[in-house]
Amino acid sequence: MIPRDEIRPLYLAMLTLGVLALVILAAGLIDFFAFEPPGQNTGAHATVIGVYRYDPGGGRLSGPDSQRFTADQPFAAEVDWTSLPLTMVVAARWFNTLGTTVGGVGPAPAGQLSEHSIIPVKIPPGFRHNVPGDYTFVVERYQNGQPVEVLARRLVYVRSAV
Amino acid sequence: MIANAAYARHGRPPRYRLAIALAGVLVILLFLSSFVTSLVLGTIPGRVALFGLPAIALVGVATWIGVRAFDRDPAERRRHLLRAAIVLGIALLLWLLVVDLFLFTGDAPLVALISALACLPTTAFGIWVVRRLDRNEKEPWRLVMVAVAWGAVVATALVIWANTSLGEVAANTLVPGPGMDAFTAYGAGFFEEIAKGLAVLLLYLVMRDEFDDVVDGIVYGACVGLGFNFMESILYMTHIYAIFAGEGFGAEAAGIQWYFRQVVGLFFGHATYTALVGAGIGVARQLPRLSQRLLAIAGGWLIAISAHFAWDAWLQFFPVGDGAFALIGVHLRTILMDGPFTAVVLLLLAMGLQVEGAALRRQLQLEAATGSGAIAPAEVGVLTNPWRRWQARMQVLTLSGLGAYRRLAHLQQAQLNLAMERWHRERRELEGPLEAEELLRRQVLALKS
Repeated sequence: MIPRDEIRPLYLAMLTLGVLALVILAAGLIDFFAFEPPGQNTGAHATVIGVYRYDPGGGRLSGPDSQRFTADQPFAAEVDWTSLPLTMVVAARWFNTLGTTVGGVGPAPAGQLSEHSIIPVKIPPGFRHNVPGDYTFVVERYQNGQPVEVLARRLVYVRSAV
Repeated sequence: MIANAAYARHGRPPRYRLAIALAGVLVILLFLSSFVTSLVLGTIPGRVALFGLPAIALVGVATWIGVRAFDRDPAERRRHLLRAAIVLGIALLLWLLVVDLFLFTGDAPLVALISALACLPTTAFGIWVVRRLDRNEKEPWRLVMVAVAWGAVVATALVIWANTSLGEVAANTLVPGPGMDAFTAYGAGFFEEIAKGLAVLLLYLVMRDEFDDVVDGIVYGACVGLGFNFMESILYMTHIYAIFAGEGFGAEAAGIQWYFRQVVGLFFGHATYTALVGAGIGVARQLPRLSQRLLAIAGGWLIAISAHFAWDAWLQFFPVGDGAFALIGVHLRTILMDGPFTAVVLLLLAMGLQVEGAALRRQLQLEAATGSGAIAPAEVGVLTNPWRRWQARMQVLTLSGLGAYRRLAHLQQAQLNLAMERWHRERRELEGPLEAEELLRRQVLALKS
């Protein structure tokens, strides 16, 4: 006897999986827009004066503005907070190649950050040097406790010291 | 006509045109990828000689065979052109391997070599296990290895620029954090699953005599995924080594990557995702209407993309814990986040094997009832049970040696091919007439005599 539609359960299973997939992808869209809400462009721009070698002991910058460092060279970004409205809640953060936050300041109103114009990259606990790879520095505007707009961005490459 | 085919071939069915068009698009994409690579990499050191020069030699050989084919009898021509195409395909694979080597190994070819050697046994074990899942009619090694090679070499070459470009766009436009992770996860899920799934789609379009149902789709898909995972493991191990070498624990960090990608995640991750694509294509293989086939293929592809997306985007939200519990947490994360999708693959496989097993039993009984002699009624019980088939072969091996073992293995395979052929004909999934079935029957009788 020939069974009727022996493939039908498999076909229905694939259709069900397709619907489940659409639900997952839709949840992904909600996730995306929750952290990247549309219509957040204020037109404001933060001024990153540069990224320089940094002396952790003295807290001073040296050398020219650079996009490349070696892992054993401490470095920091310098931000001109006066380029932003004083009441705008902002923060600055460094991310290393693994996506880990390795330094930052804020969030706080831009007017309160004038004492923190130098934002160094911190060596991760247990490490002797910075992790080699791409680093991203961002100045972000905050709203309701989360970053919603990037006001300035600098990319830096750190190569291995060995 | 192919004697052991699941259906007879007469002329070139329309799906070949689709396959040729897809292959053409792929070659253009790969050419562009190679071109951009050459611009980025600049100087070309000695590693090219290892694979690049043999690739050039193979292109020469393929051209020679191809040109000579036109001097031959038309009946012979096709065979020679096929040979030329195979040699050209091997040349293309070698060239892509050059591209991958430069892109994935960076300045640490020795670390990459050690990583590759470490990943070989685990990947080989994975391929062996996956192929054995197809209990009734194992796929030929040549096609299984084509699937693995596609995943390792072609798919990785296809996605590298898409992923890199998307990462650049994200890094320059989005707010770092979960939103950016979701964006890049969409890209990785979409591009990687398309690049890997194309292999299964091409096998479905071109090698339909070796692509019978959902079980075959899962096997081919998982093998593509294992190949991709192999190359990606080398990439991550080399990358992680470079990051942590300066701190003195590069080897340990690379070892941890190996463990999570080649041991814990061997059958999860890429193997599971592409198996889902293969399942959709495998189900489509047996559906009568084009709209149903397209829906089944879309369902498989979408669930693979979404599974891949979910892992990449939401991995960070899984609470791993601290201290000793972190060790358990990272294992639980793989099991709980990818495990359900792997369970779905196993469920589809079980359903496929059940349908296939019942169909083969029915067809073997019907064939036995015809009295053709190709299948005796007493053989039905043995042929439908993999364990009893193996027992019968071992019995013959003990009594009459290896030659008899091989002959029985060929006979069992030919009998199952005949049953599979009958099943496809019963379901009207054939594009040709009955001669192929008769040829298979004669082949079985010849093996019996």
